[in-house]
Amino acid sequence: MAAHTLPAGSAVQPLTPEEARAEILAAGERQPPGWLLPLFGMLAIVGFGWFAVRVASGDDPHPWRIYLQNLMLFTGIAQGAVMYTVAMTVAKAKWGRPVRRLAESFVLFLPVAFLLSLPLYGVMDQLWPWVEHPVEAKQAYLNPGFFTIRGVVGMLLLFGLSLCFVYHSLRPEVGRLRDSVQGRRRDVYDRLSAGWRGDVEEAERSDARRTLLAPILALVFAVTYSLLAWDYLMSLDPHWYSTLFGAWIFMSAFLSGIAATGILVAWVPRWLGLERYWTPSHRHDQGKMTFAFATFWAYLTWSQFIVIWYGKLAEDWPYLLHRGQHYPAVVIAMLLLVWFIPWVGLMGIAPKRNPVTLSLFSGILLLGLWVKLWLLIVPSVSPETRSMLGLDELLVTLGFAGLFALTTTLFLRTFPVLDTRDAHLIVPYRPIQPHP
Amino acid sequence: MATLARDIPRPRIFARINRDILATLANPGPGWFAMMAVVLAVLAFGIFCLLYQIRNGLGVTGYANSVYWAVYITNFVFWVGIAHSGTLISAILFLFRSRWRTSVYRVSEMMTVFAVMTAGLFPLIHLGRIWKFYYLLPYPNSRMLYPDFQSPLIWDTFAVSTYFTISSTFLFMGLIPDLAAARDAAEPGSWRHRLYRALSFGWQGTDREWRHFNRGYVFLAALATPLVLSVHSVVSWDFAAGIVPGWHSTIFAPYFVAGAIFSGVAMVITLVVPLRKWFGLEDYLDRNTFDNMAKLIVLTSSIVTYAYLTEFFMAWYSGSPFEKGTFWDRVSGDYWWAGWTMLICNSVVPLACWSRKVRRSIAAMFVISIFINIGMWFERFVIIVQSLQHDYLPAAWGPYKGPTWVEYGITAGSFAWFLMYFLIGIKILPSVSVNEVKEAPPEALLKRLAAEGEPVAAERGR
Repeated sequence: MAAHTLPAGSAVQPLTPEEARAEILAAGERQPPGWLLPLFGMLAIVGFGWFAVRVASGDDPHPWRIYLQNLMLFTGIAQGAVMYTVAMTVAKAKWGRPVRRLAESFVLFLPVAFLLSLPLYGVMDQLWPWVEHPVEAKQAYLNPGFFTIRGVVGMLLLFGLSLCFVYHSLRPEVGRLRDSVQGRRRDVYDRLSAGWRGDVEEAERSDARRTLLAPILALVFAVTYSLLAWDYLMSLDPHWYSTLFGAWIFMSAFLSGIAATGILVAWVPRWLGLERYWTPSHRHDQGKMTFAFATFWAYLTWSQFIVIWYGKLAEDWPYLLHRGQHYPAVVIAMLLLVWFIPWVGLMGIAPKRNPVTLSLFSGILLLGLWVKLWLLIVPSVSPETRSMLGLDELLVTLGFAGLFALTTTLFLRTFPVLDTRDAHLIVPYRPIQPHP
Repeated sequence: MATLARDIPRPRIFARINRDILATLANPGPGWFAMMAVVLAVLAFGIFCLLYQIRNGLGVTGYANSVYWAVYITNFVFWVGIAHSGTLISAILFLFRSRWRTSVYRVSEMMTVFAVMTAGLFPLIHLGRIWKFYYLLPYPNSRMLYPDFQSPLIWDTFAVSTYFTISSTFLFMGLIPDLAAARDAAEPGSWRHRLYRALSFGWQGTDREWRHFNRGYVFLAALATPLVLSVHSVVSWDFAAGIVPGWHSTIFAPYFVAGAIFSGVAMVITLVVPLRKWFGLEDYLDRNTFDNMAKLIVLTSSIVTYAYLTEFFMAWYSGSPFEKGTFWDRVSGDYWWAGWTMLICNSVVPLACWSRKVRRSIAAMFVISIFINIGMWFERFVIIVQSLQHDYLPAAWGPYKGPTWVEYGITAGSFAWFLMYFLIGIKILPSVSVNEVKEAPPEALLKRLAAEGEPVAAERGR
């Protein structure tokens, strides 16, 4: 293990927990660069504007496919990051406590994602081939009514529980801090801490709720996300089926949540001037998680591939053959971006601890997961071989990214980016014992 | 007045840990010899059955049309599965910094190595002509023909032998500091002293030695981690690479791995419960350890249940009459009782572990672990025999005619073979890691030491 050295300068001066709390709260008041929010807004407007124009001006269903692709990607990130905090809660992971709030910051996208999923039910015939050409043997399952019910109920349940889980992370904190903030934040904090019972009781109550909710949420996630994967993605090719598909998709979502959290762990401390609370060790651990789950993703991908390739049965082999023959570059790009490049890049200790490389490889991984979703959606439904590099792909994705960034920024500017109850864990700064 | 746990001087704790754990290596008593006698008798019967089978051919098993893989392959998968928790607990939990693993990892590593040694027998027993075993090895025959490298059976050879190599190296490496402690405690000149002196490589516990040891241990843990996934994945592809309905399923690899860890943790519990009583290690293998192992059971049982439900759903969703037929047959056909045993033992019984009270009850966990052992054996039996006797051709359907007494005998013999090594192992190797327990002494031990009162002045001074 590399020697742990204290960073030079004032960053090592010990603070009292009160000072730390004040500093973390004040960081939320810092104004982001003036151009940042308008930029995110512009991206969202341009992206969704382009999408609206494309949908209105023709009957090409392609923009809807890209819409579905991005909806799945960004929902996956937001939900996966919540599951990351669930996993930490279940495993009682102490190392991850400073990372937890950053992972929670994507949660505001979930209600948006629910709203964005609703239009899909209006254009089902353009996306899912079994709507116009029903598959007789599967009609009990693949029919528009049941499909809609599964999607709406599943999302409401999963997103509702996720929001509740994050709420119990925030509540004990905002209740205690509500007198220290003003204006908009004060309103939000008051609302979230309605019926306050006192600091100690609230903390115990919320922690108990989180402990109870975490395993339940894990089960609900596995089930509803599998249904979502089968419905939204697998049924695009209604004759194909793979038992691992649901697990593969929900583990991809989990991975995307970890990778996106890694980007925030690398940069938020610097943006907010809070570097003293996150040490290189946190990035190191975060990098290890990204590395491990990217490898696990590769393992699942391989497990799914080898069985289908070896069997070469008419039921499942054409799904792979079609992609291999018509989209070889996309397949290779996916494998390189999701697994190989991050795997090689994050193997060493230094790249995990360096914010630039950590966020670079996490970003590459996310791009790879975007490619993966494209590969699952477009070749299934597009009669002609399409290029992945189109204007729809670029602009719709940017639109979603803008919206996602807006919700994340809103969260980060409203709530303390570090659970101030944990401040005592890291203040005063002290190097954590080297450990594998 | 009792002392606070944190005030107990370290040397006193360490001395107690050394004493307690090394006491397990005392010469065996009559109980041990009685158990060993039973085990050897069963093993002798198993060997007799094997010889009988070699003499008379595989006709002595219950193989029938289209069911040529049965109890032996079930045993193979079962024992490879048992071997999984050892490396999970020792390597993966080590990398995840789970402190609770320290008291239980040694015994599960020992179990791992012995279970792989048991599993490795079955591909040979399963061979009609056992003396042709070398065809499994990647070695060309006299016409320079290699075995088929696309055959999952060859992958098995690689996977299992690699796993055996790494897991025994890992076990041995972690033992070095402990063997040195045992050497120092042994009477000089005794056979134990000579054995431990040779095996501990002159370990002195210097800083430099510890530094190298810790680095090496991390690297080995990182090497062993992918093996936990790969070995049972390869075993699963023995089936999934075939096109038999019920076998050809993409979820098999992760599902088998989760099932293997599930059965392995259950077997650890089954073995540790009597062991802690017998050796008086209650302070080390305490309720927290069981609580955490039970949580692993909850996790892996959930994954296995997810896989069961997904398979049933996909069989229905696929619309394929073969898939549907196979899975319907699992719960209602000739082997419905095996199918339901699997579902109840692996999915329903472990639900009790959602309760904290059950997780912390050692008696309850012991009972649940036995159910899981049975359920996981039947899972493999269902996958193998039930799928084979109900494949594409209705004309070839027909139940397997076993298990015959030979198959029962060899199966019982495999348990005896495993237990023989285990009984020898716990008397030669410390079954709880001396050096790692010292890093984080268990709560119960500290409480006991604190209750025993004020340390003597000489100890406090240090």
